Amino acid sequence: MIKYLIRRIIMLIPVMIGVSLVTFSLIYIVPGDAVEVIVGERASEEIREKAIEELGLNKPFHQQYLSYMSNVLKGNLGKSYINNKSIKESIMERFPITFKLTLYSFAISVIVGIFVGVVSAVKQNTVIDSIVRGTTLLGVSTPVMFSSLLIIYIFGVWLKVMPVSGIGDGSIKYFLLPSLVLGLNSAVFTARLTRSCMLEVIRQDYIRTARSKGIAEKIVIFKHAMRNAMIPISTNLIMSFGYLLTGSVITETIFGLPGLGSETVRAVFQRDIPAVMGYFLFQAVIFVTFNLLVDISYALINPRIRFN
Amino acid sequence: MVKRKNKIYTALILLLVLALVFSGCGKSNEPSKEAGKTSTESAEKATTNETESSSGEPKYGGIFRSYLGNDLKTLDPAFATAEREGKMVSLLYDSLVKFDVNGKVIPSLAKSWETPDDSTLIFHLVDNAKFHNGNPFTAQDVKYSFERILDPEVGSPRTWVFEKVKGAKDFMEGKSDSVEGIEVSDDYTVKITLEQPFAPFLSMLGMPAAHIVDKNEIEKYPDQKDYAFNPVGTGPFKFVEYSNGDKFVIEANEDYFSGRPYIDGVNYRIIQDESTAVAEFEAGNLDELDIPTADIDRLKNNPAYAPYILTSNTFWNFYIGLTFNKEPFNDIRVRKAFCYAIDREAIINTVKRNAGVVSNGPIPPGLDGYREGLNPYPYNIDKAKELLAEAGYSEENPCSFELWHSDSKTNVALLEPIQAMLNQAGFKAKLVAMEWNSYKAAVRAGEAQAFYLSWGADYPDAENYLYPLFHSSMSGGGGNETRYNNPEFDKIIEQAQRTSDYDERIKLYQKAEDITIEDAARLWLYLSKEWLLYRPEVKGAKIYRIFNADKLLDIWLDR
Amino acid sequence: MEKTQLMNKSQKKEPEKKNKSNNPWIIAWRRLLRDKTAVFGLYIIIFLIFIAVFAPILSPYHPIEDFNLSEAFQGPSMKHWFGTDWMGRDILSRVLYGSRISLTVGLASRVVTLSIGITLGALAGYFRGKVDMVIMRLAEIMDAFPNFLFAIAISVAIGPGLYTVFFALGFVGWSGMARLIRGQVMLYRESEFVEAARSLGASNSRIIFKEILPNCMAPVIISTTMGISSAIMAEASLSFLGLGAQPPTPTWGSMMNFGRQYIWTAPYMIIFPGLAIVLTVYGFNLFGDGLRDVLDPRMKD
Repeated sequence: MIKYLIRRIIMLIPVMIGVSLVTFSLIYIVPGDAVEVIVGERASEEIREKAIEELGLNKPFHQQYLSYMSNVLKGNLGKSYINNKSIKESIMERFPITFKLTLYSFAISVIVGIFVGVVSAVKQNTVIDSIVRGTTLLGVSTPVMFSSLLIIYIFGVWLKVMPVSGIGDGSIKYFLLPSLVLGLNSAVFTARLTRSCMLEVIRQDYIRTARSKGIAEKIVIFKHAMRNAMIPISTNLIMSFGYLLTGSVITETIFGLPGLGSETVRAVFQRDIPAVMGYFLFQAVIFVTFNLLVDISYALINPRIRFN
Repeated sequence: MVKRKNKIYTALILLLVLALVFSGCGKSNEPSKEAGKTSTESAEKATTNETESSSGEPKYGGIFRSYLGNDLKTLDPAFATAEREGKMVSLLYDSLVKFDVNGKVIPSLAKSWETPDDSTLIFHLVDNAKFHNGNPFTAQDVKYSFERILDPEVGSPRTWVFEKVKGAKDFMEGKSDSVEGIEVSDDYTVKITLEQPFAPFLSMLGMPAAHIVDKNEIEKYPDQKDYAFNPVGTGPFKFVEYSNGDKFVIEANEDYFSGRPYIDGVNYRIIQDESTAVAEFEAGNLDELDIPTADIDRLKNNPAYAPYILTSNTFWNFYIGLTFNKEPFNDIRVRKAFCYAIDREAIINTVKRNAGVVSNGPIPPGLDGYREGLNPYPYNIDKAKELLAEAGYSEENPCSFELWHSDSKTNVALLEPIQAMLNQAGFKAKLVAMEWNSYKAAVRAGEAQAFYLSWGADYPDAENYLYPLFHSSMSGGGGNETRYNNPEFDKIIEQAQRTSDYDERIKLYQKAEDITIEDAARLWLYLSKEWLLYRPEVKGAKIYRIFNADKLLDIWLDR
Repeated sequence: MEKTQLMNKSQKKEPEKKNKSNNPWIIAWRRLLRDKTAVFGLYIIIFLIFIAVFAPILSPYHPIEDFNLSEAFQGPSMKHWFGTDWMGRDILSRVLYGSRISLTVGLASRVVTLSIGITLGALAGYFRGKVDMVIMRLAEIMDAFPNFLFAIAISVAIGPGLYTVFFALGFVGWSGMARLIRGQVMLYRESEFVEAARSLGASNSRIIFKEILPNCMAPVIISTTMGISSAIMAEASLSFLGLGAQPPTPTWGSMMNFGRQYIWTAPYMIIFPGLAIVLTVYGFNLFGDGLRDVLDPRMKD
């Protein structure tokens, strides 16, 4: 197992190099002028050239890339072009907000998703199943920006019971509406997953045996079926946590949450090269870590995978 | 439990959708029918630019809750070029002079000044001002701050503010260690000598770049850029905290030299979306709202809000620049056709309803030199077509070009109808949205055929709307992005700069303005109007005409 | 979004038989038609295609040229069923025309995904070894990027526009498709009918395209149908951020983007394009779910 782990981690190195190269080349071709950001209007040519020199923007691509990467390896992610703030600091400030949002959304997603999934699996091919599936499907078909705007309208403007933007003092009420939007959206995926996993388990022989023995249906479902279905479900839930962690861009933007997602969009739009690089690398690391966690959990469940 | 939650959610959404649709049907018909009428009415009625402060004696205390529309890039006067940053710099720092509500120059750190001749200014400074770190403010700080702007090592983009000071060029080229024209006579007297008479110089000293910093603080940082968010000035507020996308917090300076502000501090949140700011204000979480164009009608017709709305014309003049040395606008007939093709009246009254007044020339109302009744290019589609035909374009061969603009919803909302009108007149316009920084760079480099921009007063003098925008030496980064070049204009505006007789100077400004209008270098679209809404307990708020003039010294909270 | 692992195991083998009534595709189609929700989804899709094709006839006004400033900001009425926008354009007409963009993006981005994914996946699965290693490393790099952020970055890098959206949304999905195809190809590459073809001297490309790929169609179809709905959703999100087709082109996402500033006074500017997105994505999801049920043998009772 440990050997497998080490091999997987070593394999991440070329992936991360690839990620950094792709991101760097993407930014490199972005039509934009970072210098303009720094020097402002009416700056003289000399000042502009000085800034270009300082940033090393006059060097060829590979030199820029190498000097950036050597800094990253030293633990230095650089400073934002726009506000001169250390990228590392920005990540440490913003990531916890995204993480909080993800955690709350994840909780909503798991509770609602598993419940709905189990119900529709147990009642497969009944009216309840159809209604539940139809509604969840409608939920997944609603774009986040649409549901966000609707929810802001209801709670912020009509009922005036919830703050509609920002994180205020950071308390849970500021995260409630965005988590609801994000959580319900991802609950639908959880529900579908739960349903198919449950259906598969229910068809297994031991469930049939349990049923034929006359064990109460509730016990069959919750004790036997659920327990077995939870294994594939939970590995997939790890992945969905990863998706949520990096997929809150629109929600953060609309609800004005200063998380990493909205900050990354800001950086991309403003061509804040060091910031874009730093954020992408960081989020890629997270994403890859979750991928790894999923693989490890698979390997734990099914040892044959290790030799594949 | 969970199931119920889910049901409630679904039910609420359905309910809401229905309700929205119906509320939409009911309301929206009436204001739009009378669009034109409402807007003229409101212009007459809502002329107030101060909230009432008569209801009782001003009280001290309370945190004012406001917001910023975007992140701040810096709070260093030497680098604060954006409007938003300039405003914040004025709260944290002071300059020698500041502006009153109407844009008139009044004393600040300089309690008085004299002008022995046309190119000399002697400032007598206040002796009781202190930086936030406790250091006293003296004439040495003035010299340091001004020279810092010129210092090539610092790389401030605002060197032009002090370029006309005697010896500035030598200092910048490293030929001298200090600027000859900035002399410290004693601790509280500074003498500034200019290369030649330059009337607007005094008011330029109110610009963000001319705000006074403390040498000791700046030199703490090996890289001066690290000073950006550690500001220490003499201003009425002290810096507390800034966090991108989240908040900017300042607190009252108890020892402010002209008396501390009434409020204990300001809590600025960063709210990028206008409609979110509206929701926050209506939910009671903000004390101040910069009313978005879309909501002006709704809020000012609401009796709960109407008494607390302030409005004022601004000095921001919006235009479309037509690049002189590029096809197709190198032909004056095409430029004129462009100007005639757009029904500015109709567009401004709809898209910018209440939020703008049609502009007809560079000099805005409120500055000496402005002339009412100027309307050189009234909407005339036939004339536009005629001019285009003269220039050799036809239906098979439309005059196609790209109109560049910085990417924002409000810009597109304005430019889409303009594009549609141009296309009706025989143009083929394509809108190209660009991110602000790359847009500015491209426009400065003269790459755009046509572009949408605005110009606001750095200092309240008509010269600020003529020389930088049209003088041939200002081509590119200076402000003359259109590469306008007319030697006759250059001659007249240079003459005006040297003229110390006021009336004479104004006449020359107007003469210069006429030349630029005749050449159709820019199509002036509108002057923006500001609408601010306050919570009832906010008293004494005012709209200042110069963007960085408000130091929040008048505002107080009755709660 | 869909977990590919679930599908790799599916479609163990359905050797093609010439007998018409036993053709698995026809059987699947019949079963699909029995699934009422899937049929409902299919109706929605047909309805939308109809609207997209006949938008010029169905629209009461031209979505771009028919502007009228004096009729701006009108709520829904008999004259303008969905109201008018800030420059007096008919929202109904713009929503109808918007279907063209959404459907085109849904399809075109899938074409991009399919062509990159099938090519690379087939190469990797068929040749294995170094080819496989390189392609799978590339896929891992792709997978390390959060999809939507990557699409945003591509759009900004090559400049926003309709073609950019095709590419950006198509490109971000290729790794999943490639894995899917690779798994399928690996499954069939040693099978009898491929061996037979090989012994008859068929070329590699012939074996891949004529023998193996046709047998992988079921999971590809499922994943593509699902992909269309997420592409349409992603296009709307990109447009909402101002990175989609540029004005004055009517797209649902950008209509919502511009409508957002009028949300307190003219909510219909957001509601109708929003509902249009919901309906479209709903249709494709319903249909895709039904397809999966009939094509995925594990779902058979």
